[in-house]
Amino acid sequence: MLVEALQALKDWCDSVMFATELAERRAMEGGLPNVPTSGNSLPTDLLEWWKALFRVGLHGWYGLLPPEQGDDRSARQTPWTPPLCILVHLGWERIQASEDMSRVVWIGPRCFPYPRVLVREAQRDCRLLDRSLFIMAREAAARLWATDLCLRCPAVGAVIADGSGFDMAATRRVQLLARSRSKPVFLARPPWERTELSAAQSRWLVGWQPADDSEQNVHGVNPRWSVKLLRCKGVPLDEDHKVWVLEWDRAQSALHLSAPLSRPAGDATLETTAPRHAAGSPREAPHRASA
Amino acid sequence: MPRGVHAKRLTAPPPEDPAMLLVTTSQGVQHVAACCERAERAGVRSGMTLAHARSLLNDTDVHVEPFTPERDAGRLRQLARWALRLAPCVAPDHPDGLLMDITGCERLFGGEHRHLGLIATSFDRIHFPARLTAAPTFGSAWALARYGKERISIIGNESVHAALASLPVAALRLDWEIQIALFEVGITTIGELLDLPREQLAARFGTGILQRIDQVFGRMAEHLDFIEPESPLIVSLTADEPVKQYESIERAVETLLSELLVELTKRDKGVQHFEIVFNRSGSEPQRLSIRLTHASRNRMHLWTLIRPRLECMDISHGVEEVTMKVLRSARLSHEQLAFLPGSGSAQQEAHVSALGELLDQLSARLGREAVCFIEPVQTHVPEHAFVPRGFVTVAAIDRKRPYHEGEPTVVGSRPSRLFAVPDPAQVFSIVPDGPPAWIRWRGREYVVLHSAGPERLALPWWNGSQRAARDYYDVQLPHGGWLWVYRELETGRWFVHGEWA
Repeated sequence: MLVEALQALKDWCDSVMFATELAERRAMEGGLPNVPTSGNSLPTDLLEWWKALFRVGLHGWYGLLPPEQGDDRSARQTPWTPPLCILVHLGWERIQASEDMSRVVWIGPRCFPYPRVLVREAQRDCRLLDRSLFIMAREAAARLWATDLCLRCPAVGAVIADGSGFDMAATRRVQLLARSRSKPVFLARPPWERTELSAAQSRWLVGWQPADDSEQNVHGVNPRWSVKLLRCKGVPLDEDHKVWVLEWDRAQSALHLSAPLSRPAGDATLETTAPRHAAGSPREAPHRASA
Repeated sequence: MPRGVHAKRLTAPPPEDPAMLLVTTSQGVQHVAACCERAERAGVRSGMTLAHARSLLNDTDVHVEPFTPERDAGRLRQLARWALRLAPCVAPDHPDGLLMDITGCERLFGGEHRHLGLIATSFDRIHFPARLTAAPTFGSAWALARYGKERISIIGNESVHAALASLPVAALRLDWEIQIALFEVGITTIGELLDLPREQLAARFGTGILQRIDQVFGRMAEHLDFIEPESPLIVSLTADEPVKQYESIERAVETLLSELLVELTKRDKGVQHFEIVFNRSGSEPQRLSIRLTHASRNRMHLWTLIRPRLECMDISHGVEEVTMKVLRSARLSHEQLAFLPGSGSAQQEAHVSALGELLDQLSARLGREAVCFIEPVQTHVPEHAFVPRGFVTVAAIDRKRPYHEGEPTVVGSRPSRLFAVPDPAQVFSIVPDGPPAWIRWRGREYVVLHSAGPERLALPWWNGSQRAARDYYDVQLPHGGWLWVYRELETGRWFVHGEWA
C-alpha cells in the first residue's frame, strides 16, 4: 500500500513537471509529442504516437516470460526475454528520424537481437545494422555506466539497454540525462520489475498475443504481441483503453498494428482470448497482469 | 667522397597478375601516365591512349587505375621514412626511387656488399623489389640503378667513368630538349658525350648539361631533400626516493601528460598508443599501455583513460621514476572553425572524434572485445552469418564492408533471438519427415498451432566439419510464441534454434 501510495504521489509530481515542460517545449518548438490529455483520447494509431513520444526520455519495456509462469516469485527464477522485435522497430524509427550519422547503441548481451532482423531485406536497407554499436556489459552497474556515457556522447542517437536491476536512482539518473540530451533510452526490463519504482517517462508491458484459431488463415503467419501501456507521465489512463496488438512483418522487419485490432484501442478481443488461455495454461494473459 | 645508394622499384608484376596501367583523363580521353614493365615490353608508352594500350595488351589481363601523383609522392615519403632503419640519410627521388647516403655504414653492417644485401632483402620483404646501386655520387648511383643491367651493383671511385660510358645520355638526368638536341647530332651514350670538348658543350647545350656531368663525377655538390628522422617522444620524472602516495604519483603523471601534449602540439600530432612505465625499487617496472581508436591530444579524454587504470595500480613498494612514452602517433587534421554552424566536414570530424572518445572509454573499462559492431559473413549457416568485430580504429567503423556487397541474400524470415547453442527438443509429426504437430521443449509440451516450412539449409559439407543439412520450420505455440525449430536430416533429431520475441 505504501509503495503504491508513493508511486501515485511520484507520478502526480512527474505529470505536473512533464506537463509544464511540455508546454514550454511546445512553445519553443511548435509542438512536440501529441500526448492526449484525456483517457478517452489515447490514439488508435499507436506507431504514429510512438514517433512523437519516443523522441526523448527514458521508456521502460517489460519483457516476456515463458508461458505457464504463475506468480512473480516463480517467474524470477526463469529466464525472461526482452521484446526484441519492438526494440528493433524503435531503433529503426530513430534511424529514420535522424538525418546525421548518429549511432544506436545496444547495451547488455540480453537485448542484442539476431543481426538479421536489423536488415530490411525487402529494401536492402542495412542502415540500422551499420549504425549499431554493441556493448557487452553484464553487471547492472556497468550497464548503467555505459548508458550514462553513451547518452553524453554526441555521436549516439539512441540507447537500447538491458535495464534489469536498475533501481529508482538509476532510472532517475538516466531519465534526467536523456531529457537534458534530448535522446531516447529504451530499457528492457524483466516483467516482475514492473511493480518497482521507476522514473521512466512511459512504461510498457509486452506479452505474447495468443493465437486465435478463427483468424488463423489470415493472421496466423506473423508473430504478434500485446502491448499494454502501464504508465505514461502526463497521460491519465483509462483501464479499458491502453492495450494494443502489434504484428511483426517478417519481410519488412517492421512492426504494424495488427489488422483486426487496429480499430479503437482497448477492444474486447483480448478479453475474449484470455479464458481460452487460462484453460490451456495457468499463466494469465500478460495484458491482464496488474501494473 | 660520400657513398650513395639509389633504389628504384622493379615494376614487373608476378606472371599471374594483370598488367598495370595508370591513366589520366583529359578532355574525355584516357591517356597512360605510367605502366609496369610487362606493359612496357608489349610496347605501351606514357602518353598513349588507353584504347591503344589495351590493343597492345590484347592477350593480357589489364588493371587500370587513375594516376594520383600527389598520393604517390606521399607514399614514397612514407617509404623513405621507413628506410631510415637501413641508412642514416634517405631522400625520396620522385616518382619511384629513393636516395640513401650510406657513407661510413659499412662497418656497422659488415661491409658494403652485406649492407646492400640487407637493403634488398628488406625491400623484398615489404613487396617492393628494388634495383640497387652503390656509387660514389648520387648521380652515378641514379644512372646505374635506372639504366644498368645488374639488379644490385657496387661501383668504386675509379670505375665510374667506365661504368657510365655505355649508358644512354638520359642517365645523366638531362632535360628532354637537351636529349633531343644530342640525339639530332648523333650522340646517344654518355661516353660519346664526354669525348666532346667541355667548352663546346656549354656553348651548344647550355650550362645545365655541365652541371649534371659534374654532379655525376662528384665535382659539384648536389642538394637533396633528406627525410628528417623523428626523435621518440619520451618524458619522465625521477624522484629522490620511492614515492608511495597515490596523490603524488597522480600529480607526476598529470605533469608528464602536460609535457607530452606540448610536444605533440609542436609536432601537430595526436597520440594513438602510449605507455606509462613506473620504475619501482626492488621489483619489476609496472606498465600501463593505453591504445586509442583515433589520434587525440585531448587532455581531458586522455586523463579519463589514464586515471581508472592508475587507481588500480599497486604502488605499495613505491615508485622511483615515471616515464611516459608515445609508441604510436598520427598527424591530426587541422582544426578549422566552420564557416556555417553545423555544416560540412567540421561537424563530421567532431562526430568521429566524439565516437572515438566513447569507444576508448568503453574499451578502457570493459575491455576492447566488449565493444563491437556486427559484420555479415558470406554463409547461410545462421549461427555464423554475423560475427562481432572489435574496433582497432574509429575509421574502421565506416570502412567496414557494406551488407549488400558480396553477401548472400538471406531468404526467409529469421527470429529476433538466436540461441547460442540450439536447444534439443522432442517433436511429433503427423507424417514422416513432415512439419511438427506437437513439441516438448524445456520440460513443457505444446500443441503446434501453425507451422511454416521447411526451409532447407545445407551446411558446409566441403570442409568436413559439418555434413548435415537442416530443415527449418517456423512454429507457432498456443500461447502465441513463435519458435524456429529444425530437424537434422542426418540424425533426425530436432532442435529449437531461436524465437521471435
